Amino acid sequence: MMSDKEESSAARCYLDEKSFHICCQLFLQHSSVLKDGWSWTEFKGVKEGYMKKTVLIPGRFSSLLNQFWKHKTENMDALVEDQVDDDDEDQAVCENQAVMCYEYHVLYSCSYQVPILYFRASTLDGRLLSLEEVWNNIHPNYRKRLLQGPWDTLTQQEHPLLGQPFFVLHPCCTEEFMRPVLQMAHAKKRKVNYIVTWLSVVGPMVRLEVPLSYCTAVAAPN
Amino acid sequence: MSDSAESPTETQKDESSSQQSSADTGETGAAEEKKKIDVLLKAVGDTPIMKTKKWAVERGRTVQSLAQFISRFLKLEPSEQLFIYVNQSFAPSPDQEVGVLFECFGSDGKLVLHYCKSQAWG
Repeated sequence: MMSDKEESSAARCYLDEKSFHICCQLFLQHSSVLKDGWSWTEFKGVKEGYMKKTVLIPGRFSSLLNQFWKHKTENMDALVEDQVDDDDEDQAVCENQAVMCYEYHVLYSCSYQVPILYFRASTLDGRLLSLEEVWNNIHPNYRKRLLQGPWDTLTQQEHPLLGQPFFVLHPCCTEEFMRPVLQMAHAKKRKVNYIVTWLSVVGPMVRLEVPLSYCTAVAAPN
Repeated sequence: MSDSAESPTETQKDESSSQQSSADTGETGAAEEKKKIDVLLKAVGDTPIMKTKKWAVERGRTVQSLAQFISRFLKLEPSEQLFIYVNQSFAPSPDQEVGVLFECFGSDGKLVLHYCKSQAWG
């Protein structure tokens, strides 16, 4: 049995569902000011909801393809008149891989009592990226350590509400990295918006930018 | 930033010399703008405390580069990830330049950064 003090300390590092909703709404208020694309989705009859955002980001094949694209644009006139041949089609596919479409969803996990980041990625022509391609696009700052993880840090799972395959950063570690920050805040009698702190940590791992203004503009729940 | 970039240097500035260099900057303008900013590193949780906490860091240095520097300095295990926070609870992007963080969150001529090691996923 944990003492009262231990219990409340542990509870602080997790997020209850009500607080999840409040933190998200506060987050979304600032998002609407920035117009950076986050929205809230709720299913009728089901109380569960999630935040989502879609972004286009350059892929890691960029350096090779930038050269190619430069050549292409210089020869645009010639291209229009020429018949499309096999070579052009292959190259066209390469071009599309230079920019990827990432769709991020922030859901609440009842079993882990933390938020989870789901995402899926595709090329512009709609091809879903493979697990390997997604790994290649994990930010280099984290890739080595994530790869070393003894459990499946990045897995493909069914979206709990949409039933479609998404990639997920495993939530088992969330409490571990949130705990020291939340305990420090509590010790200093500061309030923290769990979603802002959590997303600022996990977002960049999977190329999701969280602008600095979220740091000061978003309130914490009471 | 590559590993061959200049390492942060320890700063021995005290209050009076800081004020003096600010006055100099005022007179000579943009050309004299300090290329380095003062950073104060604070440990969070079980993370080891750095013996030297004050560092002069190039403005263009990224958060990732600084995290690597701190990790090496603290001799962290390869499985340990270092997270850096501004304003005590926000992790800036690893590609963010410390100069920008200083402009946004610096006070009293320095940028306070909290750092925390984690075994998460490691």
